[in-house]
Amino acid sequence: MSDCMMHNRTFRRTLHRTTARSIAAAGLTVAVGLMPAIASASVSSASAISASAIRDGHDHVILAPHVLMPDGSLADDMAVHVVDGAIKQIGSMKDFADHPNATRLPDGAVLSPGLIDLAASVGVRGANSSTTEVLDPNPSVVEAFDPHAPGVRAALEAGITAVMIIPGPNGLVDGATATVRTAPEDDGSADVLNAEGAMMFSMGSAALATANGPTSRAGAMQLLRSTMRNMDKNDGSRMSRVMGGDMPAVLVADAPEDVSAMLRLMDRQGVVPTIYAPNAAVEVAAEVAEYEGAAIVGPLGFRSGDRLLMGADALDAAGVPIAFAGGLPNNSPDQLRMTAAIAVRAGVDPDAARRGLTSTAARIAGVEDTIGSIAVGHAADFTIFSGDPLRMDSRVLEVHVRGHRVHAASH
Amino acid sequence: MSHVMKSAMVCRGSARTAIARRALRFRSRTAGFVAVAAMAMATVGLARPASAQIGEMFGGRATVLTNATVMTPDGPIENANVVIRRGAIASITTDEPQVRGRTQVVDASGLVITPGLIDVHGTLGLTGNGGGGPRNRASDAFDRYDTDAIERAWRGGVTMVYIPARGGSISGTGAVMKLGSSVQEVDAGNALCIDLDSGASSLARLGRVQSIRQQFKQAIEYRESREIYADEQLPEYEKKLAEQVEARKKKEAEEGADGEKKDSAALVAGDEDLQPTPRRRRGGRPGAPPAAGRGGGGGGGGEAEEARKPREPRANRAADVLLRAIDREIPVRIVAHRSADILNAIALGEEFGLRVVIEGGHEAGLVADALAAADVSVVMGPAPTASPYGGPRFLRFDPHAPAALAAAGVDTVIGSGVGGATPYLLMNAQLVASHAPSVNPLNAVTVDAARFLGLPDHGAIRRGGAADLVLWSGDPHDPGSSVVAVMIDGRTVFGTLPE
Repeated sequence: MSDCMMHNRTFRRTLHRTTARSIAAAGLTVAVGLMPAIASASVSSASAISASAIRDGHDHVILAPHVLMPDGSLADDMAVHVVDGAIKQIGSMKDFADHPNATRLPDGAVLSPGLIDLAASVGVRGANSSTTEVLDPNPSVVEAFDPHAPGVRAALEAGITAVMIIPGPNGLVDGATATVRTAPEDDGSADVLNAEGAMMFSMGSAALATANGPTSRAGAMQLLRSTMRNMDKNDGSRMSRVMGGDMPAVLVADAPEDVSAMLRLMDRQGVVPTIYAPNAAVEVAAEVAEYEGAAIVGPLGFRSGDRLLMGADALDAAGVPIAFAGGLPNNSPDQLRMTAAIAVRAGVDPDAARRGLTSTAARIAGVEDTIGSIAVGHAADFTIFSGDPLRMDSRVLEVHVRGHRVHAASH
Repeated sequence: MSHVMKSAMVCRGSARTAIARRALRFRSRTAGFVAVAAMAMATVGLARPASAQIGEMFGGRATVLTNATVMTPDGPIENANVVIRRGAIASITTDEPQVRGRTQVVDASGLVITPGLIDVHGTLGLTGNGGGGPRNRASDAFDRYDTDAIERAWRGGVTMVYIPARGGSISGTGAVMKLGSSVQEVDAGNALCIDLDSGASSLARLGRVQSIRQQFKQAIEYRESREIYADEQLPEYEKKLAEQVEARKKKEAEEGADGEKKDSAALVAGDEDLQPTPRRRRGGRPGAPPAAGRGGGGGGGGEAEEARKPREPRANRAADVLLRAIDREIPVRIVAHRSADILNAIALGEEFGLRVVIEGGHEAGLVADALAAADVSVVMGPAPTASPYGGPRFLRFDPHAPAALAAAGVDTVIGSGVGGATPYLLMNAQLVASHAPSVNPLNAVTVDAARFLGLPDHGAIRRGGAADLVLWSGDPHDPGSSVVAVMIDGRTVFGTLPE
């Protein structure tokens, strides 16, 4: 019991540990600052952009004027050494300037981990969860993902190198999320980073409206409670792994009461779900913080109402780690960064927002050891922006996956 | 009368005198003040907007914003001082500012100052769409008491908005509104608004284009009929009338003092002072219903027939508006998204010689060359990738459209578009720039927007320009920067100036 509680409550502690590790490896003090100086003038010329073509391969070094660090800050004049598709070393630019295969990015450019879009259904053909089974933990949405579907390539070109696909929300429990890269494997198959990310729970109106299951919140809570009570915690099933703390949970809900009820219920099992409740966030932010949960925010657009904006601000102000959903494929891939930018406009701390596009998103998707951070040992999945990715006039210059350049901007 | 009462009366009397004397002094001082104020108002009233007049009367001292980063169309000036006097920018200097006694000095170090942002395509404050028709005015539909929306616009740094007229196919005239503490119409008839987009079926759209062409044709016919009236019919009638007067005079002279005939024509004919004078003044403005009478006048009768005064074509204000567009006095902003509608809009412009601007133009990228060849501008609303349907599933929204337009040389201006996105005006321009690097987002929503709307004194921080300024806590391109204060015509309308 105690170790599963520890597992779930060390969310933020693990994040900090990873950061500390990478900083120690880099052997330098990271300057935690805000935006870089206004320096995008030189980047808008075409010649500067084409000069950024990195000689990728087995062993190369990227010299970056700015790097987006795991803590969300932008560090200046860094070098990242990539070997066989993974990050081998991180250091300062001057230490690596003489490397035979080193390329310097243009002035003002930011080397970022490839962005991660949560709660997407891009590339998934057809319905991806059951509409008849209300408590269906077993489906794997990854089996419905097609890496060649329209929109997946557009996401890649917008700098999104991985998406977390969510099933449902059609029932109380809809199955597991899956995290996939937007670039296919060499053989054309889907590059699945995590086939079983988190278990999806839903207390939305869709879940309570099925003809086969509970039609009230009380009924839903009772169903879940009895399922958990009667479950054999060690039978290896998904539900038991969730309740045992080995598999994270994501809760989609609309009303604050639903969020509160689920947080209380799951806390008895030592489970802290990630909350995806845009409309309820402003009211439950403090409670989510108490339980040390994380939250998914978005999609946000120019027409988003105050409630959604205040929700994002309230979560961040309460200290809840947040990550962003861009709403692919119904929304354009730009909507992910727009969500982050609009959240910052609404009051979210810029460093927290940059984490929300990268390291926190990876954590929620269950792939934090592989992608989402520029840290030793992580995959070399990068997006090179012409400036701070929170600025909407920053453009994608290049996208790298597993150390190989998969996209370069044409203009 | 008792002794007490008498003395009371005397006291009252003297008190009354004292009061009267004081009153007289006060009145004369007040009168003097009022006279001076009236004179000031008169001199100031010559060419100043109302808010600047008030600013001068009650806050007439100069203001200096010191040590800020000032954004000009050519780039930033560091550690600059902006002097504001009488609602206008008096100077921008990096030297020590000359500070006279009553000048308000503001320490703006660390802040960034931009011109007030201008939204060339906003729906801020618009309530309903007023039924359409050329006489419809967007400024009449503007809710100047929607203080929430106006404050949100200020938080986005926006100080001026063009609002379109909507409703029907020819929707009316759009207006430019300045968002001062009391909203002003800067230009109530800035553009003619035409909508080719609403209406689902192709047949409906076809009918719409025909109806619009018909209305323009009728406006031209109306002007022609007024010209015919003024240039042909009226002079003909007057000539005929004069001839008849002559004839009657001769007849009377022959008949002697026979003339008891009192019909009005004779009366008129008999008095030289009442010679009909050309009524050019009344017929000065073109405007009349299309089927205006080619009446009266030269109806082929013989000289014996009485001249009948031709009926003047009635004034038609709707046609007047259309004629201003035909005479290229105002541009015509046509809402069109589908490439076919855009091409129809271009054709409309060529047929009637209109200054066409495409509003929206989601598929403009597909017909960029046609737009460039016809010298038609495009006003973009939300960037293609910001639209609610901007996802890859919706093929009409091409993120490369802004770059294609720029490459073809189409003049493109960026507004916030429909849906109350005015507070995000700059962010929208930045989003367009991310797909079209030749776009400078801040210039697009300041100096370029002002030029497009025909407002030479706005949109840039330069000597003599209106003091519409926004003070930001940092680089406005960074979403973490916020608006510290907004000044319009030199008065702070939002936020507080730092001491």
